[in-house]
Amino acid sequence: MSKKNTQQKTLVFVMVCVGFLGSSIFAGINIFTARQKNQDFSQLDAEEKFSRLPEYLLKDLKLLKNKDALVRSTTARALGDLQSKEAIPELIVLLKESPFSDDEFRIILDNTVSDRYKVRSIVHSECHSASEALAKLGAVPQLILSFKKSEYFIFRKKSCFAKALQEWKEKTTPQSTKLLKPLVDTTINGETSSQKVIPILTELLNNPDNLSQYSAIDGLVALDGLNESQLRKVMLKVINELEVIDVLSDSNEKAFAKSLAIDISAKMYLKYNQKFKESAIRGLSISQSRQIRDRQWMLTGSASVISLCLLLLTFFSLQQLQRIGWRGHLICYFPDEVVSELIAFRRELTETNKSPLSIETRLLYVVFTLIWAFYIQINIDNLWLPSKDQRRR
Amino acid sequence: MPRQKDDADSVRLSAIEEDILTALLGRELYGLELLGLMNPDRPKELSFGSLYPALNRLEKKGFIRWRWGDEQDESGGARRKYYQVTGLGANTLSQAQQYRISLAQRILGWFALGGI
Repeated sequence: MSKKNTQQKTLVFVMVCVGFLGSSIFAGINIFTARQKNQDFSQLDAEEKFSRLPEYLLKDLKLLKNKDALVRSTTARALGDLQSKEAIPELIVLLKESPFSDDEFRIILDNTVSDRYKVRSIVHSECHSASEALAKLGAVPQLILSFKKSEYFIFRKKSCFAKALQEWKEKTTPQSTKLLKPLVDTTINGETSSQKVIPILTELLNNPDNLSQYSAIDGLVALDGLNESQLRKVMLKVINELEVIDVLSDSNEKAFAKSLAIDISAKMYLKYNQKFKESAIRGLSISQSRQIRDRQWMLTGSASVISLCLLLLTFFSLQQLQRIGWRGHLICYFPDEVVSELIAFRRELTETNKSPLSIETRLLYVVFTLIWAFYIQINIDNLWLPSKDQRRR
Repeated sequence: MPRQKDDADSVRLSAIEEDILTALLGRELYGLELLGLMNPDRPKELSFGSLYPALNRLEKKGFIRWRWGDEQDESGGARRKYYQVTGLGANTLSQAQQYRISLAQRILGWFALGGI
Protein backbone atom coordinates (compact mmCIF):
# COMPACT_ATOMS: atom_id res chain seq x y z
CA MET A 1 0.00 0.00 0.00
CA SER A 2 1.44 3.34 -1.02
CA LYS A 3 2.43 6.08 1.40
CA LYS A 4 -0.05 8.48 -0.24
CA ASN A 5 -2.91 6.00 0.10
CA THR A 6 -2.16 5.49 3.77
CA GLN A 7 -2.07 9.21 4.40
CA GLN A 8 -5.38 9.66 2.60
CA LYS A 9 -7.01 6.95 4.70
CA THR A 10 -5.63 8.47 7.86
CA LEU A 11 -6.97 11.85 6.79
CA VAL A 12 -10.42 10.35 6.23
CA PHE A 13 -10.22 8.69 9.64
CA VAL A 14 -9.31 11.99 11.30
CA MET A 15 -12.12 13.80 9.46
CA VAL A 16 -14.67 11.20 10.52
CA CYS A 17 -13.39 11.45 14.08
CA VAL A 18 -13.88 15.20 13.95
CA GLY A 19 -17.37 14.69 12.50
CA PHE A 20 -18.27 12.23 15.23
CA LEU A 21 -16.91 14.52 17.91
CA GLY A 22 -18.79 17.47 16.40
CA SER A 23 -22.12 15.68 16.30
CA SER A 24 -21.55 14.32 19.80
CA ILE A 25 -20.82 17.81 21.08
CA PHE A 26 -23.95 19.06 19.32
CA ALA A 27 -25.97 16.29 20.96
CA GLY A 28 -24.41 17.21 24.31
CA ILE A 29 -25.35 20.85 23.87
CA ASN A 30 -28.88 19.72 23.03
CA ILE A 31 -29.05 17.75 26.26
CA PHE A 32 -27.77 20.70 28.25
CA THR A 33 -30.26 23.07 26.66
CA ALA A 34 -33.13 20.60 27.02
CA ARG A 35 -33.92 21.92 30.47
CA GLN A 36 -34.19 25.45 29.15
CA LYS A 37 -36.36 24.19 26.30
CA ASN A 38 -38.61 22.38 28.76
CA GLN A 39 -39.02 25.67 30.57
CA ASP A 40 -39.98 27.32 27.28
CA PHE A 41 -42.44 24.54 26.63
CA SER A 42 -44.00 25.09 30.05
CA GLN A 43 -44.51 28.72 29.14
CA LEU A 44 -45.86 27.77 25.75
CA ASP A 45 -48.17 25.32 27.47
CA ALA A 46 -49.37 28.13 29.67
CA GLU A 47 -49.89 30.39 26.66
CA GLU A 48 -51.79 27.72 24.81
CA LYS A 49 -54.02 27.08 27.79
CA PHE A 50 -54.65 30.78 28.19
CA SER A 51 -55.62 31.07 24.56
CA ARG A 52 -58.22 28.36 25.24
CA LEU A 53 -59.16 29.59 28.70
CA PRO A 54 -62.95 29.76 28.23
CA GLU A 55 -63.20 26.09 27.26
CA TYR A 56 -60.64 25.26 29.93
CA LEU A 57 -62.76 26.91 32.62
CA LEU A 58 -65.99 25.49 31.26
CA LYS A 59 -64.64 22.07 32.04
CA ASP A 60 -64.58 23.33 35.59
CA LEU A 61 -68.25 24.21 35.81
CA LYS A 62 -68.30 22.00 38.84
CA LEU A 63 -66.50 24.88 40.53
CA LEU A 64 -69.89 26.58 40.69
CA LYS A 65 -70.89 23.79 43.05
CA ASN A 66 -67.79 23.99 45.16
CA LYS A 67 -68.22 23.91 48.93
CA ASP A 68 -66.49 27.25 49.25
CA ALA A 69 -68.70 30.27 48.57
CA LEU A 70 -65.69 32.26 47.44
CA VAL A 71 -64.75 29.71 44.80
CA ARG A 72 -68.31 29.67 43.52
CA SER A 73 -68.39 33.43 43.47
CA THR A 74 -65.11 33.95 41.67
CA THR A 75 -65.86 31.28 39.11
CA ALA A 76 -69.17 32.96 38.38
CA ARG A 77 -67.45 36.30 37.81
CA ALA A 78 -64.82 34.72 35.60
CA LEU A 79 -67.39 32.94 33.48
CA GLY A 80 -69.21 36.23 33.03
CA ASP A 81 -66.01 37.95 31.99
CA LEU A 82 -65.28 35.16 29.52
CA GLN A 83 -68.76 35.38 28.00
CA SER A 84 -69.41 31.71 28.67
CA LYS A 85 -73.08 31.55 27.73
CA GLU A 86 -73.10 27.82 28.34
CA ALA A 87 -72.82 28.63 32.04
CA ILE A 88 -76.10 30.62 32.26
CA PRO A 89 -78.23 27.77 33.70
CA GLU A 90 -75.66 27.06 36.37
CA LEU A 91 -75.41 30.78 37.19
CA ILE A 92 -79.18 31.04 37.61
CA VAL A 93 -79.03 28.23 40.11
CA LEU A 94 -76.27 30.06 41.92
CA LEU A 95 -78.23 33.30 41.95
CA LYS A 96 -81.00 31.65 43.90
CA GLU A 97 -78.68 30.36 46.55
CA SER A 98 -78.48 32.55 49.58
CA PRO A 99 -76.23 31.53 52.41
CA PHE A 100 -77.03 34.63 54.46
CA SER A 101 -80.05 36.81 55.12
CA ASP A 102 -79.71 40.62 55.06
CA ASP A 103 -79.47 40.70 58.82
CA GLU A 104 -76.82 38.04 58.84
CA PHE A 105 -74.87 40.08 56.32
CA ARG A 106 -74.95 43.16 58.54
CA ILE A 107 -73.70 41.17 61.52
CA ILE A 108 -70.91 39.66 59.49
CA LEU A 109 -69.89 43.05 58.18
CA ASP A 110 -69.78 44.50 61.66
CA ASN A 111 -67.83 41.65 63.22
CA THR A 112 -65.53 40.19 60.63
CA VAL A 113 -64.22 43.05 58.57
CA SER A 114 -60.72 42.45 59.92
CA ASP A 115 -60.69 39.03 58.34
CA ARG A 116 -59.81 39.75 54.79
CA TYR A 117 -60.74 36.29 53.57
CA LYS A 118 -64.27 36.62 54.85
CA VAL A 119 -64.58 40.21 53.71
CA ARG A 120 -63.51 39.33 50.23
CA SER A 121 -65.79 36.35 50.38
CA ILE A 122 -68.66 38.71 51.10
CA VAL A 123 -67.58 41.22 48.49
CA HIS A 124 -67.51 38.47 45.96
CA SER A 125 -70.51 36.64 47.32
CA GLU A 126 -71.84 34.22 44.80
CA CYS A 127 -75.23 35.85 44.40
CA HIS A 128 -73.60 39.18 43.65
CA SER A 129 -71.11 37.61 41.29
CA ALA A 130 -73.77 35.55 39.62
CA SER A 131 -75.94 38.60 39.03
CA GLU A 132 -72.97 40.52 37.69
CA ALA A 133 -72.04 37.62 35.44
CA LEU A 134 -75.57 37.24 34.16
CA ALA A 135 -75.67 40.95 33.36
CA LYS A 136 -72.45 40.63 31.43
CA LEU A 137 -73.78 37.61 29.59
CA GLY A 138 -76.92 39.47 28.55
CA ALA A 139 -79.11 37.19 30.63
CA VAL A 140 -80.91 40.24 32.03
CA PRO A 141 -84.48 38.83 31.80
CA GLN A 142 -83.51 35.86 33.91
CA LEU A 143 -81.73 38.17 36.32
CA ILE A 144 -84.75 40.45 36.72
CA LEU A 145 -86.96 37.43 37.21
CA SER A 146 -84.73 36.24 39.99
CA PHE A 147 -84.61 39.67 41.62
CA LYS A 148 -88.38 39.80 41.64
CA LYS A 149 -88.46 36.58 43.55
CA SER A 150 -85.94 37.70 46.13
CA GLU A 151 -85.66 41.48 46.35
CA TYR A 152 -82.98 41.65 49.01
CA PHE A 153 -80.45 40.65 46.40
CA ILE A 154 -80.47 44.23 45.16
CA PHE A 155 -79.89 45.66 48.59
CA ARG A 156 -77.11 43.21 49.20
CA LYS A 157 -75.49 44.03 45.90
CA LYS A 158 -75.47 47.76 46.65
CA SER A 159 -74.78 47.86 50.35
CA CYS A 160 -72.39 45.08 51.12
CA PHE A 161 -70.09 45.79 48.19
CA ALA A 162 -69.50 49.44 49.15
CA LYS A 163 -69.49 48.82 52.87
CA ALA A 164 -67.11 45.87 52.77
CA LEU A 165 -64.57 47.68 50.61
CA GLN A 166 -64.66 50.68 52.89
CA GLU A 167 -64.19 48.57 55.99
CA TRP A 168 -61.44 46.56 54.40
CA LYS A 169 -59.56 49.74 53.56
CA GLU A 170 -59.62 51.00 57.14
CA LYS A 171 -59.32 47.95 59.33
CA THR A 172 -57.38 45.26 57.53
CA THR A 173 -53.91 44.76 58.99
CA PRO A 174 -52.07 42.04 57.14
CA GLN A 175 -48.27 41.93 57.17
CA SER A 176 -48.13 43.68 53.86
CA THR A 177 -50.69 46.37 54.62
CA LYS A 178 -48.21 49.06 53.78
CA LEU A 179 -47.73 47.68 50.32
CA LEU A 180 -51.30 46.63 49.82
CA LYS A 181 -52.75 49.98 50.79
CA PRO A 182 -51.91 51.79 47.56
CA LEU A 183 -53.43 48.89 45.67
CA VAL A 184 -56.58 49.04 47.73
CA ASP A 185 -56.73 52.79 47.32
CA THR A 186 -56.26 52.47 43.61
CA THR A 187 -58.96 49.84 43.33
CA ILE A 188 -61.47 51.70 45.47
CA ASN A 189 -60.87 55.21 44.20
CA GLY A 190 -60.70 54.08 40.62
CA GLU A 191 -57.29 55.59 40.05
CA THR A 192 -56.49 52.95 37.49
CA SER A 193 -54.47 55.33 35.38
CA SER A 194 -52.02 55.99 38.21
CA GLN A 195 -48.52 54.71 37.45
CA LYS A 196 -47.24 55.44 40.96
CA VAL A 197 -48.23 52.09 42.38
CA ILE A 198 -46.62 50.00 39.64
CA PRO A 199 -43.16 49.84 41.30
CA ILE A 200 -44.76 48.95 44.62
CA LEU A 201 -46.88 46.28 43.05
CA THR A 202 -43.90 44.93 41.13
CA GLU A 203 -42.05 44.62 44.44
CA LEU A 204 -45.05 42.90 45.89
CA LEU A 205 -44.80 40.24 43.16
CA ASN A 206 -41.78 38.85 45.04
CA ASN A 207 -43.66 38.68 48.34
CA PRO A 208 -43.76 35.09 49.62
CA ASP A 209 -47.38 35.54 50.61
CA ASN A 210 -49.47 34.02 47.84
CA LEU A 211 -52.41 36.33 48.41
CA SER A 212 -50.23 39.44 48.35
CA GLN A 213 -48.82 38.25 45.06
CA TYR A 214 -52.29 37.83 43.62
CA SER A 215 -53.29 41.28 44.85
CA ALA A 216 -50.23 42.66 43.09
CA ILE A 217 -51.02 40.77 39.90
CA ASP A 218 -54.58 41.99 40.08
CA GLY A 219 -53.42 45.58 40.30
CA LEU A 220 -50.73 45.23 37.67
CA VAL A 221 -53.12 43.67 35.18
CA ALA A 222 -55.55 46.53 35.78
CA LEU A 223 -52.78 49.11 35.34
CA ASP A 224 -51.12 47.38 32.40
CA GLY A 225 -47.98 47.26 34.51
CA LEU A 226 -46.70 43.82 33.57
CA ASN A 227 -43.83 43.58 31.14
CA GLU A 228 -43.47 40.63 28.77
CA SER A 229 -41.33 38.47 31.07
CA GLN A 230 -43.46 39.23 34.16
CA LEU A 231 -46.55 38.43 32.18
CA ARG A 232 -45.15 35.05 31.24
CA LYS A 233 -44.15 34.29 34.82
CA VAL A 234 -47.55 35.28 36.13
CA MET A 235 -49.25 33.24 33.46
CA LEU A 236 -47.20 30.19 34.40
CA LYS A 237 -47.94 30.66 38.08
CA VAL A 238 -51.65 31.09 37.55
CA ILE A 239 -51.94 28.11 35.23
CA ASN A 240 -49.97 25.98 37.66
CA GLU A 241 -52.29 27.11 40.43
CA LEU A 242 -55.30 26.17 38.34
CA GLU A 243 -53.88 22.75 37.66
CA VAL A 244 -52.33 21.87 40.98
CA ILE A 245 -55.03 22.82 43.43
CA ASP A 246 -57.80 20.34 43.94
CA VAL A 247 -61.04 22.18 43.24
CA LEU A 248 -62.95 20.08 45.70
CA SER A 249 -60.45 20.72 48.45
CA ASP A 250 -61.84 21.84 51.76
CA SER A 251 -58.84 24.01 52.49
CA ASN A 252 -59.96 27.63 52.54
CA GLU A 253 -56.51 28.92 51.77
CA LYS A 254 -56.15 26.74 48.67
CA ALA A 255 -59.66 27.34 47.49
CA PHE A 256 -59.12 31.06 47.89
CA ALA A 257 -55.88 30.90 45.92
CA LYS A 258 -57.62 28.90 43.25
CA SER A 259 -60.48 31.34 43.01
CA LEU A 260 -58.03 34.22 42.76
CA ALA A 261 -56.17 32.35 40.05
CA ILE A 262 -59.41 31.93 38.14
CA ASP A 263 -60.28 35.57 38.62
CA ILE A 264 -56.90 36.79 37.48
CA SER A 265 -56.68 34.36 34.61
CA ALA A 266 -60.02 35.62 33.32
CA LYS A 267 -58.85 39.23 33.56
CA MET A 268 -55.58 38.38 31.86
CA TYR A 269 -57.40 36.49 29.18
CA LEU A 270 -59.56 39.49 28.40
CA LYS A 271 -56.59 41.80 28.37
CA TYR A 272 -53.89 39.74 26.75
CA ASN A 273 -55.75 37.21 24.66
CA GLN A 274 -54.67 38.95 21.48
CA LYS A 275 -51.07 38.72 22.59
CA PHE A 276 -51.36 34.98 23.21
CA LYS A 277 -52.93 34.50 19.83
CA GLU A 278 -50.12 36.49 18.19
CA SER A 279 -47.64 34.34 20.02
CA ALA A 280 -49.29 31.25 18.61
CA ILE A 281 -49.23 32.78 15.13
CA ARG A 282 -45.50 33.41 15.49
CA GLY A 283 -45.12 29.69 15.22
CA LEU A 284 -44.59 29.00 18.87
CA SER A 285 -47.48 26.65 19.26
CA ILE A 286 -46.72 23.67 21.39
CA SER A 287 -47.16 21.06 18.74
CA GLN A 288 -44.93 22.87 16.26
CA SER A 289 -42.22 23.51 18.82
CA ARG A 290 -42.29 19.92 19.96
CA GLN A 291 -42.07 18.77 16.37
CA ILE A 292 -39.05 21.02 15.84
CA ARG A 293 -37.43 19.65 18.99
CA ASP A 294 -38.13 16.08 17.99
CA ARG A 295 -36.72 16.75 14.54
CA GLN A 296 -33.60 18.26 16.08
CA TRP A 297 -33.14 15.21 18.26
CA MET A 298 -33.65 12.92 15.31
CA LEU A 299 -31.14 14.82 13.17
CA THR A 300 -28.57 14.94 15.92
CA GLY A 301 -29.03 11.29 16.72
CA SER A 302 -28.84 10.30 13.04
CA ALA A 303 -25.70 12.39 12.54
CA SER A 304 -24.09 10.75 15.56
CA VAL A 305 -25.01 7.25 14.43
CA ILE A 306 -23.86 7.86 10.83
CA SER A 307 -20.61 9.37 12.07
CA LEU A 308 -20.07 6.44 14.39
CA CYS A 309 -20.70 3.98 11.53
CA LEU A 310 -18.26 5.85 9.29
CA LEU A 311 -15.78 5.94 12.12
CA LEU A 312 -15.99 2.19 12.61
CA LEU A 313 -15.86 1.59 8.87
CA THR A 314 -12.70 3.64 8.39
CA PHE A 315 -11.24 2.16 11.54
CA PHE A 316 -11.67 -1.38 10.21
CA SER A 317 -10.41 -0.26 6.84
CA LEU A 318 -7.34 1.13 8.55
CA GLN A 319 -6.93 -2.12 10.43
CA GLN A 320 -5.96 -3.66 7.11
CA LEU A 321 -2.98 -1.34 7.07
CA GLN A 322 -1.66 -3.16 10.10
CA ARG A 323 -0.47 -5.86 7.76
CA ILE A 324 2.23 -3.41 6.79
CA GLY A 325 3.50 -3.43 10.33
CA TRP A 326 4.73 -0.77 12.66
CA ARG A 327 7.75 0.01 10.53
CA GLY A 328 5.64 0.61 7.45
CA HIS A 329 3.47 3.10 9.30
CA LEU A 330 6.49 4.98 10.56
CA ILE A 331 8.03 5.17 7.11
CA CYS A 332 4.86 6.94 5.93
CA TYR A 333 5.36 9.81 8.34
CA PHE A 334 8.98 10.07 9.43
CA PRO A 335 12.39 10.27 7.76
CA ASP A 336 14.62 7.21 7.66
CA GLU A 337 16.83 8.11 10.58
CA VAL A 338 13.83 8.52 12.92
CA VAL A 339 12.36 5.20 11.82
CA SER A 340 15.59 3.39 12.53
CA GLU A 341 15.89 5.11 15.91
CA LEU A 342 12.35 4.23 16.88
CA ILE A 343 12.79 0.61 15.87
CA ALA A 344 15.91 0.43 17.98
CA PHE A 345 14.16 2.21 20.82
CA ARG A 346 11.30 -0.27 20.68
CA ARG A 347 13.73 -3.14 20.75
CA GLU A 348 15.37 -1.61 23.81
CA LEU A 349 12.05 -1.29 25.56
CA THR A 350 10.96 -4.84 24.82
CA GLU A 351 14.20 -6.11 26.28
CA THR A 352 13.24 -4.55 29.58
CA ASN A 353 10.62 -6.16 31.86
CA LYS A 354 8.00 -3.51 31.14
CA SER A 355 4.46 -4.55 30.26
CA PRO A 356 3.40 -4.39 26.59
CA LEU A 357 0.84 -1.73 27.46
CA SER A 358 3.39 0.58 29.06
CA ILE A 359 5.73 0.02 26.09
CA GLU A 360 3.00 0.90 23.60
CA THR A 361 1.99 3.93 25.65
CA ARG A 362 5.57 5.16 25.78
CA LEU A 363 6.02 4.63 22.05
CA LEU A 364 2.76 6.39 21.31
CA TYR A 365 3.91 9.37 23.36
CA VAL A 366 7.26 9.44 21.52
CA VAL A 367 5.51 9.22 18.14
CA PHE A 368 3.23 12.13 19.02
CA THR A 369 6.12 14.29 20.20
CA LEU A 370 8.00 13.44 17.01
CA ILE A 371 5.00 14.37 14.87
CA TRP A 372 4.93 17.69 16.67
CA ALA A 373 8.69 18.13 16.29
CA PHE A 374 8.90 17.28 12.59
CA TYR A 375 5.71 18.82 11.30
CA ILE A 376 5.49 21.91 13.48
CA GLN A 377 8.54 22.84 15.53
CA ILE A 378 11.25 22.20 12.96
CA ASN A 379 9.30 24.08 10.30
CA ILE A 380 8.89 27.04 12.63
CA ASP A 381 12.60 26.95 13.60
CA ASN A 382 13.58 26.89 9.94
CA LEU A 383 11.85 30.21 9.38
CA TRP A 384 14.75 32.10 10.98
CA LEU A 385 17.58 29.59 10.76
CA PRO A 386 20.09 30.13 7.96
CA SER A 387 19.69 27.89 4.92
CA LYS A 388 22.58 25.89 3.45
CA ASP A 389 23.13 28.53 0.76
CA GLN A 390 23.43 31.32 3.31
CA ARG A 391 25.96 29.30 5.29
CA ARG A 392 28.09 28.77 2.22
CA ARG A 393 28.25 32.52 1.62
CA MET B 1 22.56 45.27 10.74
CA PRO B 2 20.14 42.43 10.05
CA ARG B 3 23.05 40.34 8.80
CA GLN B 4 24.92 40.96 12.05
CA LYS B 5 21.85 39.96 14.03
CA ASP B 6 21.57 36.74 12.01
CA ASP B 7 25.19 35.98 12.69
CA ALA B 8 24.74 36.57 16.40
CA ASP B 9 21.68 34.29 16.47
CA SER B 10 23.47 31.56 14.61
CA VAL B 11 26.37 31.61 17.10
CA ARG B 12 24.09 31.53 20.13
CA LEU B 13 23.88 28.10 21.80
CA SER B 14 21.04 26.81 23.93
CA ALA B 15 21.65 24.46 26.84
CA ILE B 16 20.47 21.42 24.86
CA GLU B 17 22.59 22.40 21.87
CA GLU B 18 25.62 22.83 24.07
CA ASP B 19 25.01 19.43 25.66
CA ILE B 20 24.71 17.79 22.27
CA LEU B 21 27.90 19.44 20.98
CA THR B 22 29.72 18.35 24.10
CA ALA B 23 28.47 14.78 23.69
CA LEU B 24 29.50 14.73 20.04
CA LEU B 25 33.00 16.16 20.57
CA GLY B 26 35.53 13.77 19.16
CA ARG B 27 33.04 11.06 18.24
CA GLU B 28 30.25 10.12 15.85
CA LEU B 29 26.87 9.17 17.30
CA TYR B 30 23.31 8.49 16.14
CA GLY B 31 20.20 9.83 17.90
CA LEU B 32 19.49 6.99 20.30
CA GLU B 33 23.15 6.81 21.30
CA LEU B 34 23.12 10.51 21.99
CA LEU B 35 20.10 10.14 24.27
CA GLY B 36 21.68 7.17 26.00
CA LEU B 37 24.82 9.20 26.63
CA MET B 38 23.16 12.38 27.79
CA ASN B 39 20.15 11.22 29.78
CA PRO B 40 21.61 9.24 32.72
CA ASP B 41 22.86 12.32 34.63
CA ARG B 42 20.63 14.92 33.06
CA PRO B 43 18.24 16.68 35.51
CA LYS B 44 15.47 16.62 32.92
CA GLU B 45 15.38 13.72 30.51
CA LEU B 46 15.89 14.66 26.89
CA SER B 47 13.29 13.16 24.57
CA PHE B 48 13.24 12.43 20.85
CA GLY B 49 10.85 15.34 20.45
CA SER B 50 13.49 17.76 21.76
CA LEU B 51 16.52 16.05 20.28
CA TYR B 52 15.60 16.28 16.60
CA PRO B 53 14.70 19.99 16.55
CA ALA B 54 17.98 20.71 18.38
CA LEU B 55 19.95 18.60 15.86
CA ASN B 56 18.17 20.45 13.05
CA ARG B 57 19.16 23.82 14.53
CA LEU B 58 22.76 22.77 15.02
CA GLU B 59 22.91 21.49 11.48
CA LYS B 60 21.39 24.67 10.05
CA LYS B 61 23.90 26.75 12.01
CA GLY B 62 26.69 24.63 10.62
CA PHE B 63 27.85 23.25 13.99
CA ILE B 64 27.31 19.59 13.12
CA ARG B 65 27.25 17.43 10.01
CA TRP B 66 25.97 13.94 9.40
CA ARG B 67 26.38 10.88 7.22
CA TRP B 68 24.15 7.91 6.51
CA GLY B 69 25.02 4.70 8.27
CA ASP B 70 25.06 1.35 6.48
CA GLU B 71 23.80 -1.13 9.12
CA GLN B 72 20.42 -1.72 7.41
CA ASP B 73 19.65 -5.16 8.86
CA GLU B 74 19.92 -4.02 12.46
CA SER B 75 17.56 -1.08 11.99
CA GLY B 76 15.04 -3.01 9.97
CA GLY B 77 15.84 -1.51 6.58
CA ALA B 78 15.91 2.15 7.66
CA ARG B 79 19.23 3.94 7.68
CA ARG B 80 20.72 5.76 10.63
CA LYS B 81 22.20 9.22 10.61
CA TYR B 82 25.51 9.61 12.35
CA TYR B 83 26.24 13.10 13.62
CA GLN B 84 29.60 14.74 14.25
CA VAL B 85 30.78 18.19 15.27
CA THR B 86 32.21 20.53 12.63
CA GLY B 87 35.17 22.83 13.20
CA LEU B 88 32.82 25.76 13.59
CA GLY B 89 30.78 23.85 16.14
CA ALA B 90 33.87 22.87 18.12
CA ASN B 91 35.11 26.49 18.12
CA THR B 92 31.76 27.87 19.21
CA LEU B 93 31.49 25.32 22.00
CA SER B 94 35.03 26.07 23.07
CA GLN B 95 34.28 29.82 23.18
CA ALA B 96 31.16 29.22 25.24
CA GLN B 97 33.02 27.01 27.67
CA GLN B 98 35.94 29.50 27.86
CA TYR B 99 33.49 32.25 28.70
CA ARG B 100 32.02 30.18 31.52
CA ILE B 101 35.46 29.37 32.92
CA SER B 102 36.49 33.02 32.87
CA LEU B 103 33.19 34.03 34.42
CA ALA B 104 33.70 31.52 37.21
CA GLN B 105 37.26 32.76 37.76
CA ARG B 106 36.07 36.37 37.93
CA ILE B 107 33.48 35.49 40.49
CA LEU B 108 35.96 33.53 42.58
CA GLY B 109 38.35 36.51 42.45
CA TRP B 110 35.57 38.81 43.52
CA PHE B 111 34.85 36.63 46.52
CA ALA B 112 38.57 36.49 47.35
CA LEU B 113 38.68 40.30 47.36
CA GLY B 114 36.00 40.44 50.05
CA GLY B 115 32.76 40.52 48.05
CA ILE B 116 29.63 39.66 49.84
